[in-house]
Amino acid sequence: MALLVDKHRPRSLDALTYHDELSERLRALAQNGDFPHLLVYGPSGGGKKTRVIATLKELYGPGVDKIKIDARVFQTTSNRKLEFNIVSSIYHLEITPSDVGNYDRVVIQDLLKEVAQTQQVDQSAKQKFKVVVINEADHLTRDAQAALRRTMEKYSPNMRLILLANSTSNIIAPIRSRTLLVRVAAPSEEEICQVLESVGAAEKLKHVDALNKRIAQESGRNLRRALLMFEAVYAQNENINANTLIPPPDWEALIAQIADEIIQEHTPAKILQIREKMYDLLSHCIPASTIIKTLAFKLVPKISVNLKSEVIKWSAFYDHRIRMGSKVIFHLEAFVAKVMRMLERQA
Amino acid sequence: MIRLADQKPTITSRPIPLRTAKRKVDTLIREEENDPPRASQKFLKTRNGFKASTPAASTQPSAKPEPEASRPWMERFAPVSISELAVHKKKVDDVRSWIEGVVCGARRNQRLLLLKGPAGSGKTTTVQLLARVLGLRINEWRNPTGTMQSDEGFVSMSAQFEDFMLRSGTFGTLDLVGDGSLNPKSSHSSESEKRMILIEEFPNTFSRTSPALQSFRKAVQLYLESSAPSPSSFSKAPKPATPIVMIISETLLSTSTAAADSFTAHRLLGPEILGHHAVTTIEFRPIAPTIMAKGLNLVLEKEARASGGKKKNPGTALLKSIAEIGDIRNAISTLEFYSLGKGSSSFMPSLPLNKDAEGTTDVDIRSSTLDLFHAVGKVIYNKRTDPQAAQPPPHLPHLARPLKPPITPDALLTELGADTSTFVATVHENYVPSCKSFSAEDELDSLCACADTLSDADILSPDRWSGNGVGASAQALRQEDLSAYVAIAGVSFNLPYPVKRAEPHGGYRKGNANHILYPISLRVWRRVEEIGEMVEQVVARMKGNGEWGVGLSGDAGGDRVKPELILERLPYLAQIERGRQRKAGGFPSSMTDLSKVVMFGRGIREKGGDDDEDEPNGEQWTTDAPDDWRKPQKAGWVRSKGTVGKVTEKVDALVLDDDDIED
Repeated sequence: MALLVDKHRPRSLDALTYHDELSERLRALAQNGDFPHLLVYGPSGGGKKTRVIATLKELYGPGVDKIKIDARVFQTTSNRKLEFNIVSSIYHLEITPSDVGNYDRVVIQDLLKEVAQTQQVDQSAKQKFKVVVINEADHLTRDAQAALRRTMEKYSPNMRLILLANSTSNIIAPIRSRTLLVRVAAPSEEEICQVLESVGAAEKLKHVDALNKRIAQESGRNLRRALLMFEAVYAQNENINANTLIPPPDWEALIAQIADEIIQEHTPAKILQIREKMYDLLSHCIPASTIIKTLAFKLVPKISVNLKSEVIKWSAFYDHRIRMGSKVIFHLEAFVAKVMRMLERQA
Repeated sequence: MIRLADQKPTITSRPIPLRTAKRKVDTLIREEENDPPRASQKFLKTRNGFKASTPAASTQPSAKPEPEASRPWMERFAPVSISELAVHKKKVDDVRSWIEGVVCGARRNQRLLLLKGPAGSGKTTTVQLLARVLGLRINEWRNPTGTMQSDEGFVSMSAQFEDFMLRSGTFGTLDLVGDGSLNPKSSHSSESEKRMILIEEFPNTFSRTSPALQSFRKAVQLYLESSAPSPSSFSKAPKPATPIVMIISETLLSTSTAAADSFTAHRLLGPEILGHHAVTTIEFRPIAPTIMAKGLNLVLEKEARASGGKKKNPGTALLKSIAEIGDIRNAISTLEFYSLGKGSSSFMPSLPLNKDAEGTTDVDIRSSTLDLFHAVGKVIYNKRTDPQAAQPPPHLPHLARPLKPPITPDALLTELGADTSTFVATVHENYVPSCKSFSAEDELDSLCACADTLSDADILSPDRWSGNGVGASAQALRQEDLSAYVAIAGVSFNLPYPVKRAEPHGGYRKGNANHILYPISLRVWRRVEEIGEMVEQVVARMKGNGEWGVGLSGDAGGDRVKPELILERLPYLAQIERGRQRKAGGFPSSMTDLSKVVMFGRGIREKGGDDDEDEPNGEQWTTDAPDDWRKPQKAGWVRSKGTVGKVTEKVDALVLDDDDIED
């Protein structure tokens, strides 16, 4: 029983429902024969990966669907062994080098060289080159990106790269200039509604227009999230109507609770209680940046107009510190204290 | 109060090799037999697992007074019977019933007992004494000193371990002790003897992916799989197999790099083994002062008997302070150190024996933890006595402080026994109640300013990933000092004077506001690691079952937990599963791990207390009314209140009185 989000993922360019113009261009690109390196970027849940896989299918035919997962071991210069997962078909392979943290350069260099030095095995393949899909390209270290840039030039006859990233800001300029930049925007709310409707119809679920609209709204234009919410709502309730509750994920509910507590009470005792909850969140691997961002967005609608900009400003300030520093709890707590003081002063 | 378990003895007056305590009996026998172990012997065995009928004469200290007189007390006067053991009776009974159960049949499906706890809490001694009483032979694994050159050539340590497990496990009824493996004929007589494998030394665990660790886990798992019957085949009695006892002294090697190189059961064995049905974990705690005092008295009595003199009396105050160390090995050596006086029957006369506990801090090795709390106390109580010479210009009246603390941050840092990052974290853990002031606004101002300076201090602290280059470590040290300086100066500047530590109402810290707590932030990593591994497990299982499509296949694996998984997929998956289960009315079996990952409300403190004994999450899906899903979070918090309370009590119970610093 696969999740709806996986089950109804479009497998070909034809099946994609929105950004039709982009799909058409990708198709043209794939059929043209001269396929450039691509840098596909856009917000999470916007359909980047789906589009890339569909493009690959257009390039090579159904062979790309037969994938296998290998665990490869790489050795660093300091003799450390790294285990690394590679998803591959005979035509392409997909890697997430940021998995190995600071050693991503080793992986990029060794693996890409190996791929680039071998020709396409299948003589009947439509294309002479293989494609390497690199996930989370914006998390690559500078070293790895520099290595990538050399590799791109050197081995382009045998290999094409497709980089996936959330934004281009972390990608060095030489790579940006060597790739074709493709932006995949988040779907609009109407487009999400359409997808929900068609998925609901395929699954023979009761169609409630207003509910779909609310899901689209709450998903923050993230299609993956919308589909997951959709399935969760239908799985949990027998009677679906326009007012059925859409439960947020537990971590988000907890942050909302923290926001309420900050607004209600401004005392040291409350700070201690909130600290406990922060620890709880952190220990569940919720990234600190996500916590502070979500908290700020939960606070903003509930406070008076003149404080909104201040809250945003300080959340940005402490988010920066979270990235720079090492003990995230200090900064989270400083943010909470700051907001409490602002609220108290105004009261 | 949570003890820093990382203090290894640094006393130099009399270096005492810790491991010798464990080899004591072994070497004793060797002395008698005059038969040193063969150099090529693959697995060194202790011979102290005597049959119950064997008189334990050789361990009696009186039997061989001459060579023993030069040994440290903790070896000479080690407990010789269970009644002398300075471990809580219930713990001993737990261990005993487990071993008995496995060997004699009541718990046939158990294979591995994990004893964990801080160093010097009596784990090894308990097992060895029990083995003697129960008539078990102990087969112990020792890390070889290096890789061995055998006939087949190079044999790595992990390969040797696998070999050891295989032999001891698969050929469970064969006697491999002594020369039995080399000379099979001599082993006939003891074939029916019951045995037990003791593992106390482990491969290094610096990285989760290290091959040595992986193969260690594999060997253990293989042993569990091969010898342990699954719970379903309960009815047919399996043949008794050899139980393994693992003894793990959990340590936090250094607090600042806690996440990287500490040693915990979880890191060693991973969730799969810890969650195995044939594995039982018993946790030892630091020895309670009362039991410790009894043990120390016993040592003193034995000493009197052995030396033929009269019993030395160290005085109750000294004894009391030593008893609070919690580590019996350490306590006994401290006691011995004090007894080294000029006169044979008196304790060091130069020491203030009847003064309060502070008198012992010079010698008492573990006291640096007290120093940490003492130093933190100096900051958060913010005593200001000296007049401030320089005052800010008149247009900055809010920065004026008429008095300043008698101790400068520099002086405090020099005196500080702990490392600075632990210190700053402890200040952070404890500063909030000190902000209590008359007006709410002042209180918040001070709180906010303190939080800000701590945030500043953290920014100034060295980043431990970027430290490479010439002189980087010296720079890092300097930087750490600066960071701590900012924290101390900032917090003491911003706290009100005089400080009235207020009891935070309804907070998680119940009890006395004067208690200074060890920072949780330094222990969060452990839970993070566990959850991370759990996520991996869940993902791997789902993928194995084909529950998730290809879309995910590339997204899992590696050291890092993917935010996308943890933020979106897993929470909703849990909700979807809940819904399905409720509709189907079935009992969710595979859900516990998943729910642990996505559910909140189990306070982090719980981790500091006992390990997951409470698993109400599993039942929760079925018992809840549908309406409760409106506020899953609230439910979570309310539900866990009981346990959180329980744990806080436990934590409070561990607080030593000395930690209450009153100024």
